[in-house]
Amino acid sequence: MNMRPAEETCVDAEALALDALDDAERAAALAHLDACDDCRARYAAAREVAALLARSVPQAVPPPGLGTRVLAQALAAPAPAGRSAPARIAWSWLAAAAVLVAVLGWNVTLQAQLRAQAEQTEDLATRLTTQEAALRLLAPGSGVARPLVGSDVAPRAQGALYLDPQGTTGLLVVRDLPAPPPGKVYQLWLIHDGQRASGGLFTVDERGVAVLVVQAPQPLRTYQAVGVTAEPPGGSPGPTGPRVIGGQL
Amino acid sequence: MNQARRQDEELAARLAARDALALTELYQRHSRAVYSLALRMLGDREAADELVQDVFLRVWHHPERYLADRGRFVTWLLSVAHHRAVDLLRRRRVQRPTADGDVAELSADSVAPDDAVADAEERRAVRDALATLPEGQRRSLELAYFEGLTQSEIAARLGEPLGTIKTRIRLGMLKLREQLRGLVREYEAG
Repeated sequence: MNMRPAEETCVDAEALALDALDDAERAAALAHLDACDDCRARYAAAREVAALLARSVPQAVPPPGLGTRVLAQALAAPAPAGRSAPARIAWSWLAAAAVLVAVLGWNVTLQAQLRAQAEQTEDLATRLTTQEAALRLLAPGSGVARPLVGSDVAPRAQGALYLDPQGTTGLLVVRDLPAPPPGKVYQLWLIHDGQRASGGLFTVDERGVAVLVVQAPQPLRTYQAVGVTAEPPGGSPGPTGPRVIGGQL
Repeated sequence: MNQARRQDEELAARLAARDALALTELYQRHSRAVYSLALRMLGDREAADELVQDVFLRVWHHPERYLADRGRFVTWLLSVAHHRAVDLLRRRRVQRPTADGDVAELSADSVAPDDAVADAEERRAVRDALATLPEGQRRSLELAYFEGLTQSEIAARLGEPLGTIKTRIRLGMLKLREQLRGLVREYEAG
Protein backbone atom coordinates (compact mmCIF):
# COMPACT_ATOMS: atom_id res chain seq x y z
CA MET A 1 0.00 0.00 0.00
CA ASN A 2 1.23 3.47 -0.83
CA MET A 3 0.75 5.38 2.44
CA ARG A 4 1.28 9.09 2.27
CA PRO A 5 2.58 10.92 5.30
CA ALA A 6 -0.10 12.99 6.99
CA GLU A 7 1.60 16.29 6.26
CA GLU A 8 1.42 15.72 2.51
CA THR A 9 -2.32 15.24 2.40
CA CYS A 10 -4.48 17.87 0.75
CA VAL A 11 -7.80 17.04 2.43
CA ASP A 12 -8.93 14.78 5.25
CA ALA A 13 -9.94 12.09 2.79
CA GLU A 14 -10.30 9.51 5.55
CA ALA A 15 -12.42 11.79 7.73
CA LEU A 16 -14.49 12.69 4.69
CA ALA A 17 -15.15 9.02 4.01
CA LEU A 18 -16.29 8.58 7.61
CA ASP A 19 -18.56 11.67 7.40
CA ALA A 20 -16.53 13.11 10.27
CA LEU A 21 -16.32 16.62 8.81
CA ASP A 22 -18.77 19.41 9.51
CA ASP A 23 -20.80 20.81 6.64
CA ALA A 24 -18.34 23.56 5.69
CA GLU A 25 -15.32 21.25 5.84
CA ARG A 26 -17.15 18.64 3.82
CA ALA A 27 -18.16 21.09 1.09
CA ALA A 28 -14.59 22.34 0.80
CA ALA A 29 -13.20 18.79 0.70
CA LEU A 30 -15.64 17.67 -1.99
CA ALA A 31 -14.80 20.72 -4.09
CA HIS A 32 -11.13 19.88 -3.74
CA LEU A 33 -11.67 16.30 -4.85
CA ASP A 34 -12.93 17.45 -8.22
CA ALA A 35 -9.57 19.06 -8.88
CA CYS A 36 -7.19 16.57 -7.27
CA ASP A 37 -6.73 13.08 -8.68
CA ASP A 38 -4.56 12.04 -5.77
CA CYS A 39 -7.08 12.99 -3.11
CA ARG A 40 -9.86 11.43 -5.14
CA ALA A 41 -7.98 8.13 -5.16
CA ARG A 42 -7.38 8.35 -1.41
CA TYR A 43 -11.01 9.13 -0.82
CA ALA A 44 -12.12 6.19 -2.98
CA ALA A 45 -9.85 3.86 -1.01
CA ALA A 46 -11.08 5.25 2.32
CA ARG A 47 -14.68 4.81 1.22
CA GLU A 48 -14.03 1.12 0.63
CA VAL A 49 -12.74 0.83 4.19
CA ALA A 50 -15.78 2.74 5.44
CA ALA A 51 -18.02 0.33 3.52
CA LEU A 52 -16.33 -2.55 5.32
CA LEU A 53 -17.16 -0.86 8.62
CA ALA A 54 -20.76 -0.57 7.43
CA ARG A 55 -20.85 -4.24 6.61
CA SER A 56 -19.32 -5.24 9.93
CA VAL A 57 -22.46 -4.49 11.97
CA PRO A 58 -24.85 -7.25 13.09
CA GLN A 59 -27.12 -8.05 10.18
CA ALA A 60 -30.82 -7.43 10.62
CA VAL A 61 -33.71 -8.25 8.32
CA PRO A 62 -35.77 -5.33 7.02
CA PRO A 63 -39.42 -5.70 7.98
CA PRO A 64 -41.74 -7.40 5.49
CA GLY A 65 -43.54 -4.87 3.36
CA LEU A 66 -40.83 -2.23 3.56
CA GLY A 67 -39.69 -2.91 0.02
CA THR A 68 -43.24 -2.75 -1.22
CA ARG A 69 -43.62 0.67 0.36
CA VAL A 70 -40.35 1.82 -1.20
CA LEU A 71 -41.61 0.87 -4.62
CA ALA A 72 -45.06 2.27 -4.12
CA GLN A 73 -43.51 5.59 -3.13
CA ALA A 74 -40.92 5.49 -5.88
CA LEU A 75 -43.44 5.02 -8.61
CA ALA A 76 -46.17 7.16 -7.10
CA ALA A 77 -43.90 10.19 -6.79
CA PRO A 78 -43.52 12.55 -9.71
CA ALA A 79 -40.29 12.27 -11.66
CA PRO A 80 -37.68 14.92 -10.78
CA ALA A 81 -37.77 18.09 -12.84
CA GLY A 82 -36.38 17.62 -16.31
CA ARG A 83 -37.13 13.92 -16.40
CA SER A 84 -40.23 12.19 -17.52
CA ALA A 85 -41.36 8.75 -16.54
CA PRO A 86 -42.48 6.63 -19.46
CA ALA A 87 -46.13 5.73 -19.44
CA ARG A 88 -45.23 2.06 -19.52
CA ILE A 89 -44.71 2.02 -15.77
CA ALA A 90 -48.39 2.57 -15.13
CA TRP A 91 -48.66 -0.85 -13.60
CA SER A 92 -45.06 -1.65 -13.11
CA TRP A 93 -44.96 -0.69 -9.46
CA LEU A 94 -47.46 -3.39 -8.89
CA ALA A 95 -45.27 -5.85 -10.69
CA ALA A 96 -42.28 -4.59 -8.80
CA ALA A 97 -44.06 -4.84 -5.48
CA ALA A 98 -45.10 -8.34 -6.34
CA VAL A 99 -41.58 -9.33 -7.21
CA LEU A 100 -40.37 -7.86 -3.99
CA VAL A 101 -42.94 -9.54 -1.85
CA ALA A 102 -42.25 -12.72 -3.69
CA VAL A 103 -38.52 -12.60 -3.40
CA LEU A 104 -38.30 -11.28 0.13
CA GLY A 105 -41.30 -13.04 1.50
CA TRP A 106 -41.20 -16.30 -0.32
CA ASN A 107 -37.55 -16.91 -0.87
CA VAL A 108 -36.46 -15.83 2.57
CA THR A 109 -39.38 -16.83 4.72
CA LEU A 110 -40.45 -19.84 2.77
CA GLN A 111 -36.98 -21.22 2.36
CA ALA A 112 -36.34 -20.69 6.05
CA GLN A 113 -39.50 -22.64 6.72
CA LEU A 114 -38.31 -25.32 4.35
CA ARG A 115 -35.19 -25.75 6.42
CA ALA A 116 -36.94 -25.58 9.75
CA GLN A 117 -39.91 -27.77 9.03
CA ALA A 118 -38.64 -30.79 7.22
CA GLU A 119 -41.92 -32.65 7.57
CA GLN A 120 -43.64 -30.01 5.48
CA THR A 121 -40.99 -29.88 2.81
CA GLU A 122 -43.00 -31.42 0.05
CA ASP A 123 -45.98 -29.13 0.57
CA LEU A 124 -43.84 -26.01 0.83
CA ALA A 125 -41.78 -26.98 -2.18
CA THR A 126 -44.97 -27.27 -4.18
CA ARG A 127 -46.02 -23.83 -3.02
CA LEU A 128 -42.64 -22.39 -3.88
CA THR A 129 -42.83 -23.88 -7.36
CA THR A 130 -46.27 -22.35 -7.82
CA GLN A 131 -45.09 -18.98 -6.59
CA GLU A 132 -42.06 -19.03 -8.85
CA ALA A 133 -44.36 -19.82 -11.75
CA ALA A 134 -46.42 -16.78 -10.78
CA LEU A 135 -43.28 -14.66 -10.61
CA ARG A 136 -42.31 -15.62 -14.12
CA LEU A 137 -45.51 -13.95 -15.32
CA LEU A 138 -43.91 -10.63 -14.48
CA ALA A 139 -40.91 -11.10 -16.73
CA PRO A 140 -40.93 -8.96 -19.87
CA GLY A 141 -42.67 -10.79 -22.69
CA SER A 142 -44.36 -13.28 -20.39
CA GLY A 143 -47.90 -13.23 -19.20
CA VAL A 144 -50.35 -10.39 -19.59
CA ALA A 145 -51.65 -7.87 -17.10
CA ARG A 146 -55.37 -7.23 -16.80
CA PRO A 147 -56.18 -4.02 -14.92
CA LEU A 148 -58.66 -4.14 -12.07
CA VAL A 149 -60.72 -1.16 -10.98
CA GLY A 150 -62.26 -0.36 -7.60
CA SER A 151 -66.03 -0.26 -7.36
CA ASP A 152 -68.09 2.40 -5.61
CA VAL A 153 -67.30 0.59 -2.38
CA ALA A 154 -63.56 1.18 -2.88
CA PRO A 155 -63.23 3.88 -5.53
CA ARG A 156 -59.50 4.47 -4.99
CA ALA A 157 -58.54 0.82 -5.25
CA GLN A 158 -56.46 -0.28 -8.22
CA GLY A 159 -54.93 -3.56 -9.17
CA ALA A 160 -53.87 -6.00 -11.81
CA LEU A 161 -54.07 -9.69 -12.46
CA TYR A 162 -50.97 -11.10 -14.11
CA LEU A 163 -51.66 -14.31 -15.95
CA ASP A 164 -50.68 -16.68 -18.67
CA PRO A 165 -53.99 -17.29 -20.44
CA GLN A 166 -53.03 -20.89 -21.17
CA GLY A 167 -52.02 -21.62 -17.58
CA THR A 168 -53.82 -21.88 -14.28
CA THR A 169 -51.47 -19.69 -12.23
CA GLY A 170 -51.90 -15.96 -11.86
CA LEU A 171 -50.75 -13.16 -9.61
CA LEU A 172 -53.19 -10.68 -8.14
CA VAL A 173 -51.80 -7.34 -6.97
CA VAL A 174 -53.91 -4.54 -5.50
CA ARG A 175 -53.27 -1.23 -3.85
CA ASP A 176 -55.37 1.37 -2.02
CA LEU A 177 -57.89 -1.28 -1.11
CA PRO A 178 -59.46 -0.58 2.31
CA ALA A 179 -59.11 -3.27 4.96
CA PRO A 180 -62.03 -5.71 4.90
CA PRO A 181 -64.70 -5.20 7.57
CA PRO A 182 -63.84 -6.69 10.98
CA GLY A 183 -64.09 -10.46 10.93
CA LYS A 184 -63.95 -10.64 7.14
CA VAL A 185 -61.33 -11.44 4.52
CA TYR A 186 -61.28 -10.74 0.82
CA GLN A 187 -62.06 -13.51 -1.64
CA LEU A 188 -61.20 -13.46 -5.33
CA TRP A 189 -63.80 -14.85 -7.71
CA LEU A 190 -63.07 -16.19 -11.17
CA ILE A 191 -66.15 -15.75 -13.33
CA HIS A 192 -67.08 -18.10 -16.18
CA ASP A 193 -70.52 -17.83 -17.81
CA GLY A 194 -71.98 -16.40 -14.62
CA GLN A 195 -70.48 -19.16 -12.46
CA ARG A 196 -67.98 -18.11 -9.80
CA ALA A 197 -65.02 -20.17 -8.63
CA SER A 198 -62.85 -19.10 -5.72
CA GLY A 199 -59.41 -17.82 -6.69
CA GLY A 200 -58.18 -17.52 -3.10
CA LEU A 201 -58.41 -15.47 0.08
CA PHE A 202 -56.33 -12.47 1.09
CA THR A 203 -56.21 -9.38 3.19
CA VAL A 204 -54.33 -6.11 2.76
CA ASP A 205 -51.54 -4.42 4.67
CA GLU A 206 -51.94 -1.08 6.43
CA ARG A 207 -51.45 0.70 3.13
CA GLY A 208 -54.01 -1.31 1.23
CA VAL A 209 -51.49 -3.42 -0.66
CA ALA A 210 -51.95 -7.15 -1.25
CA VAL A 211 -50.37 -9.82 -3.41
CA LEU A 212 -52.03 -13.18 -3.98
CA VAL A 213 -50.89 -16.17 -5.98
CA VAL A 214 -53.97 -17.43 -7.80
CA GLN A 215 -54.43 -21.11 -8.56
CA ALA A 216 -57.40 -21.44 -10.88
CA PRO A 217 -59.31 -24.71 -11.24
CA GLN A 218 -59.25 -24.31 -15.04
CA PRO A 219 -57.00 -22.48 -17.51
CA LEU A 220 -57.40 -18.75 -17.00
CA ARG A 221 -58.40 -18.22 -20.63
CA THR A 222 -61.73 -19.83 -19.79
CA TYR A 223 -62.71 -17.03 -17.40
CA GLN A 224 -64.22 -13.78 -18.60
CA ALA A 225 -63.84 -11.65 -15.48
CA VAL A 226 -62.73 -11.51 -11.87
CA GLY A 227 -64.15 -9.82 -8.81
CA VAL A 228 -63.31 -9.45 -5.13
CA THR A 229 -65.76 -9.46 -2.22
CA ALA A 230 -65.47 -9.45 1.57
CA GLU A 231 -66.35 -12.85 3.01
CA PRO A 232 -66.14 -14.68 6.34
CA PRO A 233 -62.77 -16.23 7.29
CA GLY A 234 -62.32 -19.43 5.30
CA GLY A 235 -64.26 -17.98 2.40
CA SER A 236 -67.71 -18.63 0.99
CA PRO A 237 -68.99 -20.97 -1.73
CA GLY A 238 -70.19 -17.87 -3.57
CA PRO A 239 -70.00 -14.10 -3.10
CA THR A 240 -72.19 -12.72 -0.32
CA GLY A 241 -71.15 -9.06 -0.37
CA PRO A 242 -70.72 -6.29 -2.92
CA ARG A 243 -67.74 -6.34 -5.29
CA VAL A 244 -64.92 -4.08 -4.11
CA ILE A 245 -62.62 -4.42 -7.12
CA GLY A 246 -62.73 -6.36 -10.35
CA GLY A 247 -62.08 -6.38 -14.06
CA GLN A 248 -62.44 -8.15 -17.36
CA LEU A 249 -60.01 -10.82 -18.46
CA MET B 1 -14.76 -7.04 -12.53
CA ASN B 2 -16.55 -9.65 -10.48
CA GLN B 3 -20.05 -10.83 -11.20
CA ALA B 4 -21.74 -9.08 -8.26
CA ARG B 5 -20.27 -5.72 -9.20
CA ARG B 6 -21.14 -6.18 -12.86
CA GLN B 7 -24.72 -7.06 -11.97
CA ASP B 8 -25.02 -4.03 -9.70
CA GLU B 9 -23.75 -1.77 -12.45
CA GLU B 10 -26.17 -3.23 -14.96
CA LEU B 11 -29.03 -2.71 -12.52
CA ALA B 12 -27.91 0.85 -11.80
CA ALA B 13 -27.88 1.56 -15.53
CA ARG B 14 -31.40 0.19 -15.79
CA LEU B 15 -32.53 2.59 -13.08
CA ALA B 16 -31.63 5.45 -15.35
CA ALA B 17 -34.09 3.98 -17.86
CA ARG B 18 -36.77 4.05 -15.12
CA ASP B 19 -36.87 0.28 -14.79
CA ALA B 20 -38.71 -0.40 -11.54
CA LEU B 21 -37.77 -4.05 -11.56
CA ALA B 22 -34.12 -3.01 -11.36
CA LEU B 23 -34.97 -1.12 -8.19
CA THR B 24 -36.55 -4.24 -6.71
CA GLU B 25 -33.46 -6.26 -7.52
CA LEU B 26 -31.14 -3.68 -5.99
CA TYR B 27 -33.38 -3.58 -2.94
CA GLN B 28 -33.25 -7.32 -2.70
CA ARG B 29 -29.46 -7.34 -2.94
CA HIS B 30 -28.63 -4.49 -0.60
CA SER B 31 -31.54 -3.54 1.65
CA ARG B 32 -30.31 -5.75 4.45
CA ALA B 33 -26.91 -4.03 4.55
CA VAL B 34 -28.52 -0.58 4.49
CA TYR B 35 -31.09 -1.49 7.12
CA SER B 36 -28.50 -3.10 9.38
CA LEU B 37 -26.26 -0.05 9.23
CA ALA B 38 -29.19 2.27 9.89
CA LEU B 39 -30.36 0.19 12.83
CA ARG B 40 -26.86 0.10 14.31
CA MET B 41 -26.48 3.86 14.01
CA LEU B 42 -29.98 5.07 14.81
CA GLY B 43 -30.97 2.41 17.31
CA ASP B 44 -34.64 2.17 16.47
CA ARG B 45 -36.50 0.32 13.79
CA GLU B 46 -38.85 3.09 12.76
CA ALA B 47 -35.98 5.43 11.98
CA ALA B 48 -34.14 2.62 10.19
CA ASP B 49 -37.23 1.90 8.08
CA GLU B 50 -37.49 5.53 7.09
CA LEU B 51 -33.83 5.73 6.24
CA VAL B 52 -34.03 2.67 3.98
CA GLN B 53 -36.98 4.18 2.16
CA ASP B 54 -35.22 7.49 1.84
CA VAL B 55 -32.02 5.95 0.48
CA PHE B 56 -33.70 3.77 -2.13
CA LEU B 57 -35.94 6.63 -3.23
CA ARG B 58 -32.83 8.75 -3.72
CA VAL B 59 -31.31 5.97 -5.77
CA TRP B 60 -34.48 5.77 -7.84
CA HIS B 61 -34.77 9.49 -8.45
CA HIS B 62 -31.07 10.23 -8.91
CA PRO B 63 -29.33 7.19 -10.39
CA GLU B 64 -26.96 9.52 -12.24
CA ARG B 65 -25.25 10.34 -8.93
CA TYR B 66 -23.64 6.91 -8.93
CA LEU B 67 -20.44 7.09 -10.97
CA ALA B 68 -19.25 3.61 -11.80
CA ASP B 69 -15.69 4.75 -12.44
CA ARG B 70 -15.40 5.95 -8.84
CA GLY B 71 -16.15 2.68 -7.09
CA ARG B 72 -18.62 -0.08 -6.48
CA PHE B 73 -22.33 0.58 -6.39
CA VAL B 74 -22.70 -0.92 -2.93
CA THR B 75 -19.93 1.30 -1.57
CA TRP B 76 -21.72 4.35 -2.93
CA LEU B 77 -25.08 3.13 -1.63
CA LEU B 78 -23.72 2.58 1.87
CA SER B 79 -22.04 5.97 1.81
CA VAL B 80 -25.38 7.58 0.92
CA ALA B 81 -27.06 5.66 3.75
CA HIS B 82 -24.30 6.57 6.19
CA HIS B 83 -24.41 10.23 5.30
CA ARG B 84 -28.18 10.32 5.82
CA ALA B 85 -27.86 8.54 9.17
CA VAL B 86 -25.18 11.00 10.29
CA ASP B 87 -27.49 13.88 9.32
CA LEU B 88 -30.23 12.41 11.48
CA LEU B 89 -27.91 11.81 14.42
CA ARG B 90 -26.61 15.35 14.29
CA ARG B 91 -30.14 16.74 14.14
CA ARG B 92 -31.09 14.58 17.11
CA ARG B 93 -28.15 15.92 19.07
CA VAL B 94 -29.30 19.47 18.40
CA GLN B 95 -32.82 18.61 19.49
CA ARG B 96 -31.89 16.29 22.36
CA PRO B 97 -28.34 17.06 23.48
CA THR B 98 -28.54 14.62 26.39
CA ALA B 99 -29.18 11.70 24.05
CA ASP B 100 -25.60 11.85 22.85
CA GLY B 101 -24.36 8.39 22.06
CA ASP B 102 -27.56 6.79 23.23
CA VAL B 103 -27.84 3.91 20.79
CA ALA B 104 -30.06 0.98 21.66
CA GLU B 105 -28.76 -2.54 21.55
CA LEU B 106 -30.25 -4.81 18.92
CA SER B 107 -32.55 -7.47 20.19
CA ALA B 108 -31.78 -11.01 19.18
CA ASP B 109 -34.84 -11.35 16.97
CA SER B 110 -33.62 -8.62 14.68
CA VAL B 111 -30.50 -10.48 13.66
CA ALA B 112 -30.70 -12.23 10.35
CA PRO B 113 -30.85 -15.99 10.91
CA ASP B 114 -29.47 -16.99 7.54
CA ASP B 115 -26.39 -14.84 7.51
CA ALA B 116 -24.03 -16.07 4.82
CA VAL B 117 -20.84 -17.62 6.13
CA ALA B 118 -18.65 -15.49 3.89
CA ASP B 119 -20.34 -12.33 5.12
CA ALA B 120 -19.96 -13.42 8.74
CA GLU B 121 -16.27 -14.07 8.15
CA GLU B 122 -15.87 -10.65 6.58
CA ARG B 123 -17.53 -9.05 9.60
CA ARG B 124 -15.27 -10.95 11.94
CA ALA B 125 -12.22 -9.85 9.98
CA VAL B 126 -13.25 -6.20 10.23
CA ARG B 127 -13.97 -6.47 13.95
CA ASP B 128 -10.65 -8.23 14.51
CA ALA B 129 -8.86 -5.50 12.59
CA LEU B 130 -10.61 -2.83 14.65
CA ALA B 131 -9.63 -4.64 17.84
CA THR B 132 -5.95 -4.47 16.92
CA LEU B 133 -5.96 -0.67 16.66
CA PRO B 134 -4.71 1.36 19.61
CA GLU B 135 -7.65 2.22 21.86
CA GLY B 136 -7.58 5.93 20.97
CA GLN B 137 -7.70 5.24 17.22
CA ARG B 138 -10.42 2.64 17.52
CA ARG B 139 -12.57 4.82 19.74
CA SER B 140 -12.14 7.83 17.46
CA LEU B 141 -13.14 5.81 14.40
CA GLU B 142 -16.18 4.36 16.14
CA LEU B 143 -17.34 7.74 17.42
CA ALA B 144 -16.96 9.15 13.94
CA TYR B 145 -18.48 6.36 11.92
CA PHE B 146 -21.17 4.88 14.15
CA GLU B 147 -22.15 7.88 16.24
CA GLY B 148 -21.74 10.51 13.55
CA LEU B 149 -19.47 12.86 15.50
CA THR B 150 -17.26 15.33 13.68
CA GLN B 151 -13.58 15.35 14.47
CA SER B 152 -14.11 18.51 16.55
CA GLU B 153 -16.90 16.84 18.50
CA ILE B 154 -14.74 13.79 19.12
CA ALA B 155 -11.96 16.02 20.41
CA ALA B 156 -14.41 17.69 22.80
CA ARG B 157 -15.91 14.38 23.88
CA LEU B 158 -12.54 12.79 24.60
CA GLY B 159 -10.86 15.94 25.87
CA GLU B 160 -8.06 15.65 23.32
CA PRO B 161 -6.60 18.23 20.92
CA LEU B 162 -8.26 18.31 17.49
CA GLY B 163 -4.95 17.57 15.81
CA THR B 164 -4.61 14.40 17.84
CA ILE B 165 -8.05 13.22 16.74
CA LYS B 166 -7.32 13.98 13.09
CA THR B 167 -4.12 11.99 13.27
CA ARG B 168 -5.83 9.10 15.02
CA ILE B 169 -8.54 8.93 12.41
CA ARG B 170 -6.15 9.12 9.50
CA LEU B 171 -3.77 6.54 10.94
CA GLY B 172 -6.62 4.33 12.07
CA MET B 173 -8.14 4.26 8.62
CA LEU B 174 -4.79 3.61 6.96
CA LYS B 175 -4.09 0.77 9.37
CA LEU B 176 -7.48 -0.72 8.77
CA ARG B 177 -6.88 -0.53 5.07
CA GLU B 178 -3.55 -2.22 5.49
CA GLN B 179 -4.97 -4.97 7.68
CA LEU B 180 -7.96 -5.51 5.43
CA ARG B 181 -6.10 -5.07 2.19
CA GLY B 182 -7.25 -8.45 0.95
CA LEU B 183 -10.87 -7.37 1.21
CA VAL B 184 -10.22 -3.85 -0.04
CA ARG B 185 -8.21 -5.07 -3.02
CA GLU B 186 -10.89 -7.57 -3.81
CA TYR B 187 -13.39 -4.73 -3.93
CA GLU B 188 -11.12 -2.35 -5.76
CA ALA B 189 -10.44 -5.01 -8.36
CA GLY B 190 -13.93 -6.41 -8.17
